[in-house]
Amino acid sequence: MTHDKLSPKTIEKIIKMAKLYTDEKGLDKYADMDHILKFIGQIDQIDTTDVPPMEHPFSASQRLREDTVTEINQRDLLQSIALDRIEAGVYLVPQVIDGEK
Amino acid sequence: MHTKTLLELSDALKHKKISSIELTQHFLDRIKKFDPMLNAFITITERTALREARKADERISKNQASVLTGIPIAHKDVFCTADIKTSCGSKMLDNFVSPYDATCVQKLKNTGMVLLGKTNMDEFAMGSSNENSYYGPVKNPWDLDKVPGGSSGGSCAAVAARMVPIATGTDTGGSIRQPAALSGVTGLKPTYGRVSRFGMIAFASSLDQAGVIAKTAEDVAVLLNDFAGFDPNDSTSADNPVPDFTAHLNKSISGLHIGLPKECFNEQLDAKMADKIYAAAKEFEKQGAILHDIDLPMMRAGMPAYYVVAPAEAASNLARYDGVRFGHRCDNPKDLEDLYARSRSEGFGDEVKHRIFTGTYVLSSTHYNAYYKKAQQIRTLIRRDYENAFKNIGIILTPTSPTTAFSIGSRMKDRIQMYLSDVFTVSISLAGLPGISIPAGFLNNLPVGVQLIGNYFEESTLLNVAHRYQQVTDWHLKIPEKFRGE
Repeated sequence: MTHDKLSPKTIEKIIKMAKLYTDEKGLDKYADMDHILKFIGQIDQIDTTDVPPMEHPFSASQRLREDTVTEINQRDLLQSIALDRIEAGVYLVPQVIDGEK
Repeated sequence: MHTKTLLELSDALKHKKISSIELTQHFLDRIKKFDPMLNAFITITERTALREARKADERISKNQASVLTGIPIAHKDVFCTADIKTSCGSKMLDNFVSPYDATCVQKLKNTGMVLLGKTNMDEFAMGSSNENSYYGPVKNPWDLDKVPGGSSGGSCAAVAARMVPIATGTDTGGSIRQPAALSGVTGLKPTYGRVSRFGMIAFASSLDQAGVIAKTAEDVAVLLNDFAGFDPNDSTSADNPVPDFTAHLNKSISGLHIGLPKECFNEQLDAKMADKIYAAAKEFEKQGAILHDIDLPMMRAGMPAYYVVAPAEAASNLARYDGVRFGHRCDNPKDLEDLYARSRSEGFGDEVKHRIFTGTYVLSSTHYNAYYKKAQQIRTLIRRDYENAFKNIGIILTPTSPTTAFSIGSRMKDRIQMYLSDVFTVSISLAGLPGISIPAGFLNNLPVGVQLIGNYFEESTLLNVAHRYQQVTDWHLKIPEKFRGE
């Protein structure tokens, strides 16, 4: 596959999509991504006409289970790993709705 | 005690020649003495271990013991362990203590095995050298300037230095087999779905598989009997019968057809490495196996396809680390986007971020068909290659890795070179097949591994063939010089 060199703008876009953070200097960290994309671009040399994508190594289908309740409510236990980010059973995050702080 | 096999240890425990407490203390002492040289452990669980050993001794005295009761083990730090930190080698999970055990951890706990600690690994199992760990690199017991391989480098180094009789690992593209080869131990990656992934921190869900690292194929078989099996909590777990993996270890391999793929034995393989692998093949021939040259034309296409599929699935799986519910959270986020981005950037190391980048790129709407879909089509072609091969042969034999252990730091600036460490292992993972690496000699005093590949759910065959090899060779019994003493 002909791979166009990644522009700083594209790198920035991918970083944003990946929910990563970088300042301008940090963009250089991803400079070698061109090599990686060129490397994986070799797959273009393989003829896959009419070949179905693999869905499972031995074509097993998704198993269904009985529609019965098997889990007990472990909310307190599972929220205990949130350390100090919990208040009254809800997770604390920065304010996301405009209004008075 | 550290040179004995699991069955020998089990026998000694059963006949009260040693207690589990004494055995556990022996290995804890070795860890204290040797691990500062190797950095193979992230967490050492001394108090828990001694408590579990005491319980094991009670079970043994009441004749309620299984073959594994009282035997120490270490788990790769990718497996969730209740009340014990599970870091996955990452700053992101440095503060994470799972509220539950992974299914396979629980199963081994039920047998009465004693957990000595959690082993070091490449962050989120991404790496082939164990240099990508937040907790520092693991050293190779055969040469402390060399890497042990990765990502299960801590487990392999710990077994090689006899700090633990047996350990667990995970393999996504070679992460059990490659470090087993570089560290001179036996490592099995079972068929995809053979061992539960529940509670095993996900890297690439269509490839990840838990496995076993030990001194001998027999030890692997003994543990696999309790480690493998269907788990309703893992939707990809295979509901296939679990045989007694020890039942056919001694079966004759006379008449077994072994394929040697031409694609592995070409001019790109170092001649001395090729000689070692051919020498191993000859040992099988001496026992009556029949060697064939075979074609696996898609094998090398596995490399680029793997580096599309694995990062794509990693980008998706690692989206859960957002600083909200658990894991690292940045200080003073100015808004929610800042919380996500800074928590992730601070919590993940370089290799993980690069793979998330690649995965995000190949999954983006404009690139999905050209990369991810195409790579999945190549997986179909790879699987067909193996299906065709297994029509005529029983197992396939290849080098595990193109080189022996390389110097720490030597490949960190060249990702492609690092990725090529797994050139002989990734296609097996893409097809979901089982593979085992066994010690097969030394080059420049560093271990060489040979890889045996079996058909789906044919772990018994692999263990049988590996065991037969280990009955006539002693490479697997060698201990690195610095770690031979008590």
